[in-house]
Amino acid sequence: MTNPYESPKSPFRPNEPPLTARTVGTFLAGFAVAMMLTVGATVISLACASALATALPKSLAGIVFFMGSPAVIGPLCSDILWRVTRHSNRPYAMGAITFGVAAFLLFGGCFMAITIL
Amino acid sequence: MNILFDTGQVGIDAASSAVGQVCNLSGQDAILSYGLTFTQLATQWEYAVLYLAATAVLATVAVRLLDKRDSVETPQRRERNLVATLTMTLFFFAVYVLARLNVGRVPLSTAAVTAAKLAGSALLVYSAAVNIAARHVIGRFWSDQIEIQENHQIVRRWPYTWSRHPMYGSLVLFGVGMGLIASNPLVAGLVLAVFWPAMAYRARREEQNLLAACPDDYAAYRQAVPMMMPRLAEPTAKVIRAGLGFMQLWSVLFACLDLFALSGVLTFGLSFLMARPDFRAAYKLKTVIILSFTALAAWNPRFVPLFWLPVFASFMSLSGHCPGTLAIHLLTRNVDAQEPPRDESL
Repeated sequence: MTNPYESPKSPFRPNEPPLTARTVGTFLAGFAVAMMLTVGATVISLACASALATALPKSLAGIVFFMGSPAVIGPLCSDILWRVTRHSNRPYAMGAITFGVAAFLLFGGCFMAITIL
Repeated sequence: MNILFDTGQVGIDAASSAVGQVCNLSGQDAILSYGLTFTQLATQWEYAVLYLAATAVLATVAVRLLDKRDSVETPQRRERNLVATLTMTLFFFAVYVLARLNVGRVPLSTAAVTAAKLAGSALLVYSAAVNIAARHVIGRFWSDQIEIQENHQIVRRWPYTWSRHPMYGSLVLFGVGMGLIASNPLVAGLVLAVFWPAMAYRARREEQNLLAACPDDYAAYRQAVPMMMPRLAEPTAKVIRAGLGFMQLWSVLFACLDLFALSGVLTFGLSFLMARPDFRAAYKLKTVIILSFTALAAWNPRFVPLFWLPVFASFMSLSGHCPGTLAIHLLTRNVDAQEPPRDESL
């Protein structure tokens, strides 16, 4: 039975994570959301690229496919998330950017580098 | 290309193989052979370490660059320099491609390759940690080009207590680590011959600007702290010396000449990083001894038992002295003793 004359207290939450763990969690959430966005966008972009590829010369089709790969889509998605959340939730935005870099390196960033060189 | 989609592969695999075919590269992994495939990450753990370390460093660089893009702060002074983030990244991509294509790779025994991978991975993790920490500590004073901000201050927190340019020093070590994991002296040599001087040039330009902005403060800082490479504290140096000792012991027990030679090369590298000057001198001499013994053993295997001498010296160094440092102390004491007494009457 509660006392109606007692001021309300904040609920006791013994399992509340400390600030650092919460920051890491937010960082990972940003990373995961950027990854999911990239997967979705890549599926769409590759579907478009495969439709286009039949009508294009081989060299151009290769570039179109590369532009639709996560090496390019990943950094784009993470930049969008960064712009949206950089002021409101910085660890989240940093997680998104980390995914962008990871995708760029994993899916042929070095290929782009040697193409430039 | 449509066949690739019909076989039910995930989109990226299809895309990469399509690009590979278009670019006349071989097979499905064509494009990713220059990058990292998931299979390679699982089977070549050293490249997984490289990938994670490079991602961590580049992510912090990207965050800082994006912060700069959003910043309204205008620098007090700005100097454009060719040695900047883009050129540094392109250099690393180029040496990475060399490493992946095995250009300049030296065929080594399994033990030597494993030792090189372990040493290289440790160097990669260490240099990435120092680089990220330095970028975090320097905060708003970090910039792609050389910039002096409003109310510019000299940062003196760790790792800026170790060296004046820990980010550049750590990048040099990162490159050497890449060379080690790939067992590729060409990669390490390019980093030391091209990248290091470029970093030194950029660091000197920065220092000239900083001396103009904060003359007294920076001059005192420059006197107290070394330029690029940090000096390892004695406990850390002891651990590394013990590791070298185990490498040498292994090479004696299994008559592994290339592992012994590798320990000599690592001894030479360590001789520049230790804090104690007597150990720095002794380890340069030790490098000459190790490499000479290796050459002798390659000429005639009867000389392999000589390898026990560096093993003994390495484990003796854990006590705080090795034969080399003892000899140096003995010589310097004799020199002090031979000095003629000063004539106080004059």
